[in-house]
Amino acid sequence: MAQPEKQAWLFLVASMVLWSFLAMRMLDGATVASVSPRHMVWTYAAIVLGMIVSHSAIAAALAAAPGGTQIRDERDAAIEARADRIEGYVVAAAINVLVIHALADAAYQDDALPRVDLASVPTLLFALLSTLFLGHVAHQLATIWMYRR
Amino acid sequence: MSTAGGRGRVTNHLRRLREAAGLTQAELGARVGVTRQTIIAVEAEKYAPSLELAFRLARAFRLPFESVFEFED
Repeated sequence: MAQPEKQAWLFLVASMVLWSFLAMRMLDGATVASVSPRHMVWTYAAIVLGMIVSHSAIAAALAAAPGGTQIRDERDAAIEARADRIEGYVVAAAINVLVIHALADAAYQDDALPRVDLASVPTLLFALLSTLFLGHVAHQLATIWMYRR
Repeated sequence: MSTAGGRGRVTNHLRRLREAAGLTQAELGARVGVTRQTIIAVEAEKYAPSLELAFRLARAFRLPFESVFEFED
């Protein structure tokens, strides 16, 4: 397995763990809990720190492992660029889904739709961070798929 | 391995030439400055190399470009 593929698998696991932490801190069942600003700030800070620390530790551990100094070549760069593009598409699609959902909810107030109150800061924080996680997960999955196909 | 326009196909004789030269994928990769995985992907025609890499591969075998790569319409 290529080093960047190993890295993508580990980043994927780290992202899933951190998103689970976000969900644990922000969700009450299937709905976003009404939490205090202090709770949100600590959650946000912990996630940012968790991402930096986990990703740096993974990159350092892989660099120190046998074959860790393997050169990155043009195929790695092409895969990285394509994964970046896919991540952008996924984030754009997720934001559009959120906006359309919020508009439909405001226009029709249909009980069939799950409530996504973007005017609520906890909901907005959870939705935006989840969108970023989704994009990151899409990036790692695209990377893994392109190395394995 | 399709071209950017989606028409035609670039094929190569890399595996045959490498085996005839008695080189491993890692050795060929080292000669042209890419990883073994990239040589595997090029041989399997799952990755279209850049023009620069394609020329470096042809030079590694001391062959003209068109003896290594072909374009099929």
